[in-house]
Amino acid sequence: MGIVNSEGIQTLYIGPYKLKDKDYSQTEWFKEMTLKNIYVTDVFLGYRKIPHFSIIIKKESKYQEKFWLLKVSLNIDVLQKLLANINLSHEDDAFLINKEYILQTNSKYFGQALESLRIKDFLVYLSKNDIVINKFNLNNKIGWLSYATINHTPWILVVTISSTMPYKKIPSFFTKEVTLISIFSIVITFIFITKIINSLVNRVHKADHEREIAIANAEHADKLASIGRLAAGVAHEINNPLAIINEKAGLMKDLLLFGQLSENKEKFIQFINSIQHSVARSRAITHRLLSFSKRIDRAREEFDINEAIQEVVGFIEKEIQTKGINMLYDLQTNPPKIVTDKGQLQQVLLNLINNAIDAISKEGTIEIKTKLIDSNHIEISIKDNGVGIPKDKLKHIFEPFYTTKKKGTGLGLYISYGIIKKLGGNINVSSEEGKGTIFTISIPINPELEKIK
Amino acid sequence: MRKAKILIIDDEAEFVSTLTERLIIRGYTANGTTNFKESLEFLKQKPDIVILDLGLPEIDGLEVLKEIKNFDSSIQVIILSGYGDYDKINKSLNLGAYDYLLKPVDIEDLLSKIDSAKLKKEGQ
Repeated sequence: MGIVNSEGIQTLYIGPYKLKDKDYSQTEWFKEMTLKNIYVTDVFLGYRKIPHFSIIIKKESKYQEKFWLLKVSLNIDVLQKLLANINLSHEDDAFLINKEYILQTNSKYFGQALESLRIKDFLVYLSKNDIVINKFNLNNKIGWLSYATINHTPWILVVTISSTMPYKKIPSFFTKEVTLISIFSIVITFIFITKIINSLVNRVHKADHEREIAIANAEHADKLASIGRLAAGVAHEINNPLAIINEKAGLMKDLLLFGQLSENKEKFIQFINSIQHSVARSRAITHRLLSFSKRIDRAREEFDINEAIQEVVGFIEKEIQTKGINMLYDLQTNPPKIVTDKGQLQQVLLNLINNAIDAISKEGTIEIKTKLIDSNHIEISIKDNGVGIPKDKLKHIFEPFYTTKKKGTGLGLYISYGIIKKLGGNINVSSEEGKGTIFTISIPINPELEKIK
Repeated sequence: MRKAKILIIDDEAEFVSTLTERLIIRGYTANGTTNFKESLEFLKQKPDIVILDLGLPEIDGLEVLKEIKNFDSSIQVIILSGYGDYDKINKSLNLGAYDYLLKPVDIEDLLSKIDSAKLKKEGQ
């Protein structure tokens, strides 16, 4: 039993074979499942080289354009056992074929499962629920060949009965023995299996839905955390010039109270200049913030990538200085203006630079590079010489809730990955423990040109 | 009681000079520096109180706090910073800071904190 995702990859598997992560995207049944909700395959050999068939149930997610397939594979023994329940004499035979006359179970006279049925001339295409009974000659013995389609499956049940049974009795025998036992039991088995699968899929669906909600909540928390970090930085930036204004104005008041105005005229002018300078400092910060917040709402705009990087670094300059980090730049000269969502790209850059800062315990180097790689792609890389990421952890870092930091939410890189993919780009990482990490983003300069291609 | 001898350590030169002058006007002995290395020299002059900013460019303010407490644990350190980060506040108090004030501060609040810190030092 396994669960196959909308990309055709079996993400979960329970059973005797190594079929986890198997790619089913090119199989007939996977293609069928884009249109159907339930599907029963013909008997086939498949990866395991043993005749079996699969029942596949689809469940679609209400929240994202994806689905899961629950796939149960059964050995044909199951069918064989059902057929053995039919009350037949030793000369008689019962087996299943598909619409292409391929045997689905073993037959006494006509071959093994997956062989082509040699008596297909007798068979005509059956409409639903029809039962057909024909006289036929097998090994010079006259007998009766009966067949009926089985609803909800791709199969036709075929039964041969020796001529010792009078013709009159055949229809009632077929209806009673064959249809009741065989068709009913097969249909009931299917309904039962379908019910079990459905309840399992519902459980998986519920768990996945809960996970989606948890991710949405945590994404929100992560956003709040980065807003908090930004707010703390901005508050500090503004509190410093405010403190200067406060002290200068306070000293002016002190001098008025303790000294004489005329003596301190020159000093007063100096103080006022200093106050105005501090106001200008605060204003630069609030204006930068305003343009940043405006950009969050605006989806797509044309801008210079190097300037966008400098703006991001500007926000966290204080932290970079405090930690004694050396910033190096190797920027593409006169890069073409890129057209994309600047706010979102800057969110990713902020995240990657913050990670680089966190990776460096004290006094390190962060190198930011921009490079035109072809006519419509620019590459941005952020390299640090910090602690690095161990190999076994590296493959997980874009997964939600995965973090190597003590206080990380495990969402920064997950969100960054999502943003870069949405902007039509790629994000890659390489790292060596103890030596450092490099993140490389490539994004289209103009996503419209990308579409035309 | 003699008024406190104060050392101000803050990376904003204008803030240091102005606050120093305002404290001197009020009869305190005050010195200021924007440089951590220079502050070590001033510590030798045995201040009662250090007013310390946490956001120093060349060194983490918490490290400076440790150095001061190592040098002379009786020196009372008042943190005066633009950061309102509770994590930093807690850490500095755990490292033995007398109190934490957020910039910009009202001079009267600062003076009362300086005087009570001085009392604590006298009591030791």
